[in-house]
Amino acid sequence: MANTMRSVSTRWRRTALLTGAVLAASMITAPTVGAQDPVELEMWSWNNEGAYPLVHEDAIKRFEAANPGVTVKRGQSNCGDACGVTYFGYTDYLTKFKAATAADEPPCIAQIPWAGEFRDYVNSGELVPLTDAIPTGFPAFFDPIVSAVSINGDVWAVPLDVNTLQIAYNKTKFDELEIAVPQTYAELKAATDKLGEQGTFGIAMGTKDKWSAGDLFFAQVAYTDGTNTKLTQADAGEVGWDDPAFAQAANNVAQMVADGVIAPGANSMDAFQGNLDLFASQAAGMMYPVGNFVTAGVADKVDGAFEWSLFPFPKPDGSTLDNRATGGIAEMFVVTKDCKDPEQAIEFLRYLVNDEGGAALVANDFIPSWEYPVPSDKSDLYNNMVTAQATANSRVIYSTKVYAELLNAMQGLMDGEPGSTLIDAMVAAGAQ
Amino acid sequence: MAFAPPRPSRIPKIASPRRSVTPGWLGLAFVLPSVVVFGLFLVLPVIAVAGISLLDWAGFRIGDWTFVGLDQFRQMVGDPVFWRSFTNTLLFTVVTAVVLNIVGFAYALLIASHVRGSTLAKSALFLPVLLSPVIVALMWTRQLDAFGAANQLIALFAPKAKPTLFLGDPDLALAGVIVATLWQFTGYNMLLYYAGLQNLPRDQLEAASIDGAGKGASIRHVVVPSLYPVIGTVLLLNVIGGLRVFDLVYVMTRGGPNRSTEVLATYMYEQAFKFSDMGYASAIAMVIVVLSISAAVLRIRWGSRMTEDG
Repeated sequence: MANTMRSVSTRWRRTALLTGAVLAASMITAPTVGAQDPVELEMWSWNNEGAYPLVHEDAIKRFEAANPGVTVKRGQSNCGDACGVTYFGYTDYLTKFKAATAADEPPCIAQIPWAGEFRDYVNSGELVPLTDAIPTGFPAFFDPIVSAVSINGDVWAVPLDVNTLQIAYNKTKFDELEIAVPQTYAELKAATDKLGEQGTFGIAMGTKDKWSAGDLFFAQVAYTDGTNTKLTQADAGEVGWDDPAFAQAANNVAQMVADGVIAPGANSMDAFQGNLDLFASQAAGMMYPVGNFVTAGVADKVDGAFEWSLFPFPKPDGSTLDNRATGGIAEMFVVTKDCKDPEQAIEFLRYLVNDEGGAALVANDFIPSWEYPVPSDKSDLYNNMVTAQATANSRVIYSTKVYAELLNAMQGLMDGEPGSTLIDAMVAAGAQ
Repeated sequence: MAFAPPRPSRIPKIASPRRSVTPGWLGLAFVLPSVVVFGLFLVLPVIAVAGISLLDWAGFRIGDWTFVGLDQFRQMVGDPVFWRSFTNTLLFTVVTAVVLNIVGFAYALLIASHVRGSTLAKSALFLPVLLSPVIVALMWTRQLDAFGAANQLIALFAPKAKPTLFLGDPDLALAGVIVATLWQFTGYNMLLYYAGLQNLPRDQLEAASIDGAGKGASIRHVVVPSLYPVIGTVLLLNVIGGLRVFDLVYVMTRGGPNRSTEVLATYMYEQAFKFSDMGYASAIAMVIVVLSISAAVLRIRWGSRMTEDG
């Protein structure tokens, strides 16, 4: 009996040991098995217009070829069945991204605006810091661009490309009317007057969706603040939003509206719809703002009906500064904290901005956010934008409330309100 | 035993009044799904929003909030944009409710008179109700732009006039949104009034006619009083619809130019999704809820008074 009991006990012990061993073995091998599981990264962007989907897809193909078992989820796009990440229109993008983030289901890789929302996401701890990753496998981004994606001493986003905002003009019409490219505001007004004599408006703007109105203000700040630092200082509370540099910029805009330099009805038109219609139909001789993100769209709409090119917003009369564009980051991507495979997401971003990534950007007329040689066969327009980039001034306000009130008050200025209303609105928003 | 009187339990019972008026478990089972849906998807969210309005919360992490009590409501009192959106909302609500009811009622009378083409008119007037407000907004944005139907109409009478940019003009933009709303929802009111007209007391109408009442007098003294419950319900629906208007405004003007068409719902959206201020957005939402409930209470009281007055 005792032997039988011992035998049963031994059998149980062996079974328990065996079970333990199997469990332990499975726990040890689990990570190996997990690593072989297919990984799908989700990537969101709002830039499904122009050639951005081609650039994204180029990186996806190279990344997937080099990383078997890792794929980037395909979403809807405008460049074919097998092409593209998940795109949402800009109007809905931030709402969806915020809802997905709040539900802990954001995409691994997300495009993010360069303004206040970026800061909000960083401060909320929703993004993965990239400071340690950036030195390995990423190009040497331009210093001001690295500053723009750095908050609290860490890098939080990978800047894909940069843009410049300039005035597009109808070169054919300017030549016909013997109008030289304006270098000063007086010349810009004279050009508008000359166009007006022919029944053509001056600068077509679409400020219904507001952001482009902000850029008209930034184009003036580029001159009224020659140091290109006041916006950053005001954001940090070091100077007031009623600083003379901002007040003068607001007054310049109000003067432009009063002088009829801006085509009427800006507030009723979306940027790149109504205003592009005016420009492409030659009802307006100029259009603002135009950067490399929309040159393809302008070319499509103009469709060879006339020659067009770009020039920086002319300096105010009496300014001793050189003419300059505004600009900054065009597309930038973050890795979200809830991403299950952040290392793979970061690896994908390396493919987006490596040498082949740079080549894809340049081939599609985008300007990489790092030093990249311009091929000799690039168009004059592209070279123009690259040249403008060298002097481009900031167009960023990080305080979302101040930025929102700037945009609303700019709509007021477009309707003829004085510049002081804009400053009052910014000061009030800054005080909140 | 065969002639034994039936046992008391066999005597048919007269149902007690209590049993006849209470639904019992079966009745509860019937209403339970509605109660659950109502509770889960209406009462709970409203309670949650009321709770969030007392917090400073960015909306990212559930536990990442600070209790601020009534601070959001205090902030609201001194916020000029809130008051602008509040005023715009009330203006929009009052104008749309009044015009929708007058025009909808007129259309219903016209259709009920069965004049030639009234069936076609009924379908045509109801058609916009079936469209998405976003489609209506895009359509009217086009109609009100420099090259749209509105300016072409103006050009017929004033060929040399500059185009009026309705949605770009702060004095006209809200009117533009109101016109689009009226175009879309007049058919809805028409249908509700038309349904009400089908139940009019024929004897009273005939009596009025025999007494020599004209059409105007019949409408004033018989039709309208008979439709009071319908008018109350339609008005309530219009008021609540007006208080929470978002889509038409957002697509047509984004609340601009310079906040001239900002309404409570678009301002709430801006606070929640642009400024990540869920607490303040929830406080604005509570204002909409309170206004809507107030409208419903007024409707109920008005309905009770009408019933008492006979």
